[in-house]
Amino acid sequence: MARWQLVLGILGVAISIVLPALLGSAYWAHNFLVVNLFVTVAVMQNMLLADAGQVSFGQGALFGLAATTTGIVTGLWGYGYGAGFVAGIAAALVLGLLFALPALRVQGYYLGFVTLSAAVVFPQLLVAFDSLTNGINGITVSLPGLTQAGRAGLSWTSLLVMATTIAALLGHAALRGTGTGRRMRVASVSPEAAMTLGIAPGRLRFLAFTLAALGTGIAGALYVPVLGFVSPYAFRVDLSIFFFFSVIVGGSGELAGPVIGVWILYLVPNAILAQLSVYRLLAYGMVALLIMLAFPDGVVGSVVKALRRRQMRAQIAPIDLAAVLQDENAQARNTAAPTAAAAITVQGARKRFDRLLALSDVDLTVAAGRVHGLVGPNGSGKTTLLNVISGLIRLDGGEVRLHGAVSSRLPAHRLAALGLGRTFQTPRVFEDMSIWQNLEIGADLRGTRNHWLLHALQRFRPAWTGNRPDLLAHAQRRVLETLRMVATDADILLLDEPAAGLSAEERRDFATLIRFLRDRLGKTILLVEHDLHLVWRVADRISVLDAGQIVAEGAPAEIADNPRVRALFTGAADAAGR
Amino acid sequence: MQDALIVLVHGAGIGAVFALIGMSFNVVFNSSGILNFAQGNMLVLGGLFAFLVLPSSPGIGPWFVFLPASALLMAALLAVQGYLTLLPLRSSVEQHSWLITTLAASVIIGAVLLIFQGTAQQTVRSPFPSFWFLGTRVPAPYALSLLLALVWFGLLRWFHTRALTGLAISAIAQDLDAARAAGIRVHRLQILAFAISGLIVGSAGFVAAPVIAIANDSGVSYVLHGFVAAVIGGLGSDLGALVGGLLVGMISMYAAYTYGGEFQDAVSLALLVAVLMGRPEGLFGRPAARRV
Amino acid sequence: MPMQLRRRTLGVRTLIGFILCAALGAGAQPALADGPPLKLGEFLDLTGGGASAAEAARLGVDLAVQEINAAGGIAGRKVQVVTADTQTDPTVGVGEMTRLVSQEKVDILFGPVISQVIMAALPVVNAAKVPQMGATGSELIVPKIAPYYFSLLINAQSQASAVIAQAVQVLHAQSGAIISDSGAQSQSFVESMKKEMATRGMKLTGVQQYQYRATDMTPQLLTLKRGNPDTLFLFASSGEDAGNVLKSLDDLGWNVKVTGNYTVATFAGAALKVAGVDAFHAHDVTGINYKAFTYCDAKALPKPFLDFVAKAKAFRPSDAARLSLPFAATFYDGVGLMKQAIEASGGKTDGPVIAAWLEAHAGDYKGIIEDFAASAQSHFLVGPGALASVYPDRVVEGGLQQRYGCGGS
Repeated sequence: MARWQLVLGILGVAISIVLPALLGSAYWAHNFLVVNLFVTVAVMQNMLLADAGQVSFGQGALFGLAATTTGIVTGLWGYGYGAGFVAGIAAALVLGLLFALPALRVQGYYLGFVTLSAAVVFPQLLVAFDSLTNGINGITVSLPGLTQAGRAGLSWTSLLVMATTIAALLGHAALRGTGTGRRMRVASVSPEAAMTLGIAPGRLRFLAFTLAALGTGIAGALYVPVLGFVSPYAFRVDLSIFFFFSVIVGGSGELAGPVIGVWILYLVPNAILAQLSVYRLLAYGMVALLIMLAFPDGVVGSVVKALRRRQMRAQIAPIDLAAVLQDENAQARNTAAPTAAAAITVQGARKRFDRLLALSDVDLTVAAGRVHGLVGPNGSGKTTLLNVISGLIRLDGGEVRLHGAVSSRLPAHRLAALGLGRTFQTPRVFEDMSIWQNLEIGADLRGTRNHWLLHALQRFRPAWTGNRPDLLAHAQRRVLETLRMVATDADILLLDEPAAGLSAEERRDFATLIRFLRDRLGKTILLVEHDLHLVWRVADRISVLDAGQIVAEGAPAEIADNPRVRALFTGAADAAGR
Repeated sequence: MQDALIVLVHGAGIGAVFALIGMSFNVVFNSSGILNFAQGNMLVLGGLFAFLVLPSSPGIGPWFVFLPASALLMAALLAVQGYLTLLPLRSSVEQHSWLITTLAASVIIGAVLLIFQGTAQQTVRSPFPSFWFLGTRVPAPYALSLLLALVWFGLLRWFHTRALTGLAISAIAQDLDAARAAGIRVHRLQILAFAISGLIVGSAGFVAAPVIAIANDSGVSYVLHGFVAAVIGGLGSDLGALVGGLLVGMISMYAAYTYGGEFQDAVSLALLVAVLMGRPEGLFGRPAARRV
Repeated sequence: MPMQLRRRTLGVRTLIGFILCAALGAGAQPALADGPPLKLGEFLDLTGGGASAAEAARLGVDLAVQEINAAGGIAGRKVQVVTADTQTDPTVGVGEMTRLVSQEKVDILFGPVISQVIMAALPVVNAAKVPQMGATGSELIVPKIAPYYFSLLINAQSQASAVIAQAVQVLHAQSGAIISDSGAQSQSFVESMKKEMATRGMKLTGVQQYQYRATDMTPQLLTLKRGNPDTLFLFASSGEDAGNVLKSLDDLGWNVKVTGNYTVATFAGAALKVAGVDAFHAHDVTGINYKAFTYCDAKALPKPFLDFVAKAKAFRPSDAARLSLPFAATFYDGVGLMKQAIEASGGKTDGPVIAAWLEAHAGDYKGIIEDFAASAQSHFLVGPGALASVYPDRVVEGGLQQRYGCGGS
């Protein structure tokens, strides 16, 4: 799927530059140079939005800054274009890093607004600092050596633009194949899940903004020979919006999306509808509206979805637990782990959300190599406790120790690297990746793909590589998430209501899996669960949490008669009978 | 000191218009998570309606008749826009198509204005005389906009906490799936929310017509300031929009006074960035419940 | 994988070859010999910041072309109009200019009205050597970098000197403050004003900007008021903006005399609607206009302009009612001047030939505007001599304005 998009995209870029040059059409040649510069920026925006999950409405400012800097260095200061080119990219990189700073604090459309502010103010600042930028008068840069048509009507500029755009497309595709690219996508879909897989989202956001600034900066520096003139008028906020919208119209996340998006949004109003003059805007608005009504996922996105829906009819191999459970390589990583020692120790944990006291002085000890059940009514603080242990939430007071070492000050991704894994109430399965990649992302944490689990499931690989997890039934997604955690080789596993939404038979299978994890692999498991029967079947020890406090604790048989527990059982029965 | 007061009074006047746009954003945002880019041009259309129906020296009588007419007309228009915007969204909530469809609606309105009236900016005269306040002549529409903003703030508060329909919309805002499961007709309520936002901008455009730029390309500036107001206050919070609008109006006017008009936008956007960095959920926004 | 790619590239090359052959075959038809139409490119900023002026320009050009065609065309060739919208954006402007000269192969060009747009498009026009008339005020556009481009607009410096002459000679002002919008034209005017004020020894008490289509300029005016200037120089880009400045002055109760620019005069209609005639009286507002669009005695109005107004109203009534007819008349004259230049050059439309003729003979042309001038040093077709101070509020037919000092109030 991705392959033909890449091929089509590259063909589109190459043909759009070579053909007008061969035909000697200066008009189309010029238009497509501008278009391909914009495609480059849009590809970067696509990577930023779809792969890294960062909403930036300010890429036009990066583009404009690179172009203006190149213009200043080359046109005003009289250095060569090479120096201007480098300076332009450097300037874009600096601004890109500035964009990444707020990304550590705010996300989503809020981040969009911060970057949008930069895009709004940018041209005004160019005018305000006219002693440096020449302000409204702009900078004329004549580079005949670069713009003169050579062989086959192609100038150096057009070759550079073509190479840059193709490199952007190839780079985007290549990034997706790397572990970094996968981690980026994981962090964008669910920063929490990413952290529990040992990924630091902040670092990846910086990387994504830097890469995007690099590509956008190169395009901006090339704008100078393409246009020969740089002025603030060309970098109004509309340009930033245009880049973002090109990605959406083409289909967010699709490799060829930016090519199609820019072609539609730039060529339709500026070339195809150019003669309509005042009616152009009306026609443009109508075209954009109709395209989005017809292709709600963008043009390429909607086509891909329709194609995929067709192919989906083919059966896919379900995840076969037996293959995992019977694998002879499934061995405890660290058999020497002293079973008596405490794997998790929580002491005096306190956490408050506004007026709600979620945890008040919680003490909890989970022995290594044991399954510890944590039960309690809704809102009793179970998930909060899991979040505290896995480092997603900071404690107000108290501390958490893992294997005796204080862990409550470490960020989640560090804890994951230390061997803490967890699953979530709704399985965090990454829809944009194939089923197989979802498993690999777990093994990536250890830096090696050589994991017994991947070997055990090797025969499913062909079926799972081409298919996305949206085909999987809920229980299968649960298993997939759990296996992904196993692939990280974490030795402490936190499971958040794994049985929710599973049928009776699926729950039995899942209980088998839990026992397998404990007995064969020697994992320590903290199990939060509403299905008390399941908990009583698999847990070695059980704690009851209510209103942020541990109200009972003991072996399953010991505390079964505890009135709090009885109340829980009847509550569960009521809920079941509803 | 005297000068500063004059600047702040005028800032509050124009800020009330931003606040009204901010509140109209909130209604739609709360019900569907959509930010309607066309809201600025919708305000301009409300003003254009005033230009078309009011004579050059209007009486107070027709003004009171046409005010609700403008609100209802814009409500109907926004309901249609809402219907179109939500149409492709049924398949998934992860799509960004609304970004394009709402902007396209804005472009289309601007284009229609361009075709019918060119780039001219229309002038509306208020039937109410300007009055002197703190040493400056204050155009009546400023005071009326402020009054209207307060009225809408009260009405929305009542609607969201007392009226059944409003409660249902609040439920959608909190948990779409749960609301759907509880039998709430989400789609219909979302269109209703668009219509209510139309009532707000329709009345705001009409009331503020004499002090806003009624032209084909002026909507963008209003939509941007309305966004800034809503985001500073906290998206979804009407109190936030009210305070944010007044704040943006006063600060941008004060920036023009102290630093010059060329830094007006830079200062109000710097305020936005500062607020977001310090308090990402906005001044009065609730921190997004972390769903883990 | 590399093999695969290579094979595909070969396929593409074949494909291109085919298309190339087809295209060459199609293009090889002989050109029609007898009287090909003369193509006139309208390179105008029809949307964006320059739109209102560009629309007026278009009206003038279209009207002139219709008349010329009815009378047999230019040098016996029918004139065919091709329109391009620059969207007031240099990037788009270069693309559209390329379309006009390389795709449409226009012979002559009219527009734009925004300096930055023509600055960006200059390399394309210069290479194609197409003669062009726009209405841009930037003094950076000199014959050396734009050999075939002429401007119908008074340049910023001429405007500045006319505005300051009015302030110094009539108002006896010794100090002044400047308020303008933040647009490009206005900013180059402000630069010229600063220079001109310095040479005249006039004190500049403050400079402030507002944004195009702002409605409340009280903060900026308050700041300027503190400098207590003798007069306020107003450079607006639209009549509505000018009106809002006057309205804001009234809100503050600041009774300063206002000396306005060309826009204040030529778009006075819109300003009057916003601020009312009393505001014009209260601030003794003056503006600058081309003499051809002014009168002194209401009984002796200039006939050429009134004829143009009548024709424009008959041609496109709704446009004529809302657009600046003096601006349209300027472009109408431009087309007439271009026609004369082409016919005097034996029907040639080459940039160098036309430019040389205009530099030598533009002063001889008598259109609605009678004082054209140009030289090898300056391609501004209208000089300071063609300007007059006016009462913007004293308007008769078609926007004719009374010259300052004429008639009673």
